[in-house]
Amino acid sequence: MNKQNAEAHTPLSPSLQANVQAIRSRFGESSDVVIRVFRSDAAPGRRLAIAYVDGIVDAETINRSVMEPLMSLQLPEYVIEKGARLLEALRGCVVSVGSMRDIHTLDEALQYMADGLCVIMADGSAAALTADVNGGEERSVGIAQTQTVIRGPQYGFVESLRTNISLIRRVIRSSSLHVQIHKVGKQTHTNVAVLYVHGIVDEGILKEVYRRLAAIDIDGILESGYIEEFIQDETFTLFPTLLNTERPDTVAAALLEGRVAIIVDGTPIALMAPTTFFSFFQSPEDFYQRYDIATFIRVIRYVAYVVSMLLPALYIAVTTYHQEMLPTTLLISLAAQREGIPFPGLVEALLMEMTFEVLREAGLRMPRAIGPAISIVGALVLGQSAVQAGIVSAGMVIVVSFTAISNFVMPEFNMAATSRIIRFGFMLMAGMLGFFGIFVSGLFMLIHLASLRSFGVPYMSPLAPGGAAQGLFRDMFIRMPWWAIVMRPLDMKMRNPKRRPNKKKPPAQRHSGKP
Amino acid sequence: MEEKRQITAIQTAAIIVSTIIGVGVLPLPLFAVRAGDSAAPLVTLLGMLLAICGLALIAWLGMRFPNQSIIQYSEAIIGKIPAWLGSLLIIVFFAVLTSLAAREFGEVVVTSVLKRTPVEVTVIVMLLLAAISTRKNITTFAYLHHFYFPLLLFPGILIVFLSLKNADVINLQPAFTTGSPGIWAGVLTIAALFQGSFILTMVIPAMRRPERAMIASMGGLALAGGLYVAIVAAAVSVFGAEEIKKLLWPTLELAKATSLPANVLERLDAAFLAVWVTAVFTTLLSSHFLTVRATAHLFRMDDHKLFSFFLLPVVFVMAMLPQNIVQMYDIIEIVGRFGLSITILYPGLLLLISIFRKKRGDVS
Repeated sequence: MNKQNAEAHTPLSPSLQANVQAIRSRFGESSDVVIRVFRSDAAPGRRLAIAYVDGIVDAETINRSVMEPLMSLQLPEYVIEKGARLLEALRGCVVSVGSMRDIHTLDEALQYMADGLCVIMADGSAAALTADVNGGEERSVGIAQTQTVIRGPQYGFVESLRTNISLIRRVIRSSSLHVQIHKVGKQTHTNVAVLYVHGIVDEGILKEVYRRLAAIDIDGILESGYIEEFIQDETFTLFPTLLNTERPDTVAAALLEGRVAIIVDGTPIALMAPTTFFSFFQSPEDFYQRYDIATFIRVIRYVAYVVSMLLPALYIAVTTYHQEMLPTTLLISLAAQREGIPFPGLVEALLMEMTFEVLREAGLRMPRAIGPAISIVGALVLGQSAVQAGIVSAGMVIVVSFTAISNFVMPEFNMAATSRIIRFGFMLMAGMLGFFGIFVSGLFMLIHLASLRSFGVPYMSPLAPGGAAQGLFRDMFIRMPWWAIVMRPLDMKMRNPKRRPNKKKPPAQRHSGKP
Repeated sequence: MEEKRQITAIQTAAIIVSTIIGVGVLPLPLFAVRAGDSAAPLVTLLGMLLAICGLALIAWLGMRFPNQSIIQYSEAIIGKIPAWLGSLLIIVFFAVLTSLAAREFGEVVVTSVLKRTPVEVTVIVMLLLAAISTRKNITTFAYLHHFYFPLLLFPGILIVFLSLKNADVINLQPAFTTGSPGIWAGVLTIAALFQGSFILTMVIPAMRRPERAMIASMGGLALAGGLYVAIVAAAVSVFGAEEIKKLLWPTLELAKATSLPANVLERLDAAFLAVWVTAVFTTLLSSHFLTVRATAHLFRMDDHKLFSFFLLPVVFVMAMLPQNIVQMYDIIEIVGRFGLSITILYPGLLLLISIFRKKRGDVS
């Protein structure tokens, strides 16, 4: 620790040669480190140098805004005498880059170089300048891949933090959108930006976010998933307690609701906290479409979630224990299908569910060209032939397929994944204890959900606490028309809980047909 | 960010309702009919009134000592050693109540749905569920009750309404028979079914506004009692008093007799199992929570988590003691009536003494 501290304060040497040597050796003679030492006509006898790491800077900017002015330097006599003055003059009137900074230690210089900045040094001066010439290859803003909508903005985040923040700035054009950047990761020094709207966000939650971010001690952050696992409230839960999205409009909406957004450099996936169970069932499109269809689709989503979690378990329970529940004709046809099946319902269901999960993963990992093969194997061989061969019943194939399709209805992938795992637990309990097993496991799940918190906000709010009546209208099941959404959705103390002054429909102009 | 006093009056009412509605609903019409034949709804009503008196005493006491549970303020009222004895009785009684409720429900499941499953499995599953959830704090406890409250109430009301199809009012007459000598014993038995409402004493110290405890508890009890009376009336009007005497769980039969229109599902008893599981769970949750929390208070500990699993084996063994259903119901009736002296007489005594000795809790 002490050694590190000492290193962190190694000052820059007045000798340019020594500095160049130090930089080269600290970078391990890496071949992409470019250090250019040169003389300028205007300052005879004093050499200048610029240093940067190739590939993460914009070469064009370096040439035009740094090199060119430096080469054609015309400085008054008195400046040339004193080192410090030289740099000051360079900063003041020569180098034409937006953001510049003075640095005094070697480690700062190294860090800025690694960050994609250009370091300008001069002979006889124990300080240096950095010029922001960030650049290099990056993906351009394109269509959001994982969360598609029909109506609404189509673009998604990219890997560059700068671009991502700018995308949000373009939605919330206000000085109250605050951005704080932290560096996380001892080796990667990843920029992690915390965004919030001042005046809406709850200060307590914001402090909690900062506290948890500051506590992260790890060598590298490669994706926001790392951050998520460090700052979530509960590790041992299947339910995600942070929302994630790759859509700038979703982030903007969350910010306006008083949430805090966390964007990590190098990934298009942003995090939002605090969150509730029910916000995972809201698609951004809900708020762009007409409220009636949005409400309908939202209810469908809840149904689909329950189906994807419970349907195989219910099928097992009914066929194994509670045959009397089914209408007689349906029971007879089901029994006829199952006549030649050698396995009990549970084994049959586990077999098919595992098959589906394998197919799904295979479809994801397989090279694009072999894709169609998967669907042939999946649909024909495993579906139809398995039924014809008498290994599984046709009813089970229908159940598994419908379960699988229902799972894709969820707008948030991580919540959908939850039901994929829990499904197996329900199936086992249904196989052992029938409906009793299902209900007991359901109760257990709800107990767990009710005790979860996301940054201090109860996970099941507004349903518990609050009650069903409140939940119905506070954006849980029903998406009210926009003019009727007066309050922000989270059940927490906020300085500014209202989005609109009152619940009044704006008057519509009634045209009588005559001017 | 957890505030200490978070429970609202509505949550308190929900806790009372979902605690009371439990496995006792299933044999309820049988108890009522045995005592009063066709006057069964009246018997239920009287039982409910008695329970209301008892709960009012507890609410009154709780409002006098808004920061303490009965375990704590009884020491201030009657002195350490007598209070210690009283508290011990409360703990033992609610442990027994938990075990009996778990056993009763285990028997229901094994008899009606899972015929080849050992009763131990269903009992231990329910008890485990209760134990896991009692490890949470009282705010979460209130959320849970509030959350399940509609899940209990609406199916209960649904049963009553769906059964109206087969109802016959003549079965309810005469409604005021007083000839039966067993009627007062029946009132006591039914009042005993409301004893879970004693949980109020643990809830008041966590209420945001303890002064509303009285109205919340009365509302909750009236709601649960109303449902009880409605279920008894529905059962009697569908089956008739003589038929009910031959049924072990008339409410279960009532649910079986109903079916959904359009014949989507032929029988609903397995579906109503969901309601019973939830109902029994909330009851077990409350009584086990009461036991565990009271034990913690008795030993002056802030955290009750330790005891929720520690007491579990004891409760489980007690649940397995009755030899069969018949013996179990004999025990339930005896324990229930004995319990009234703990849940009504004891608080009444405490209240009287606290008024005479002018003891009050600090209202800070």
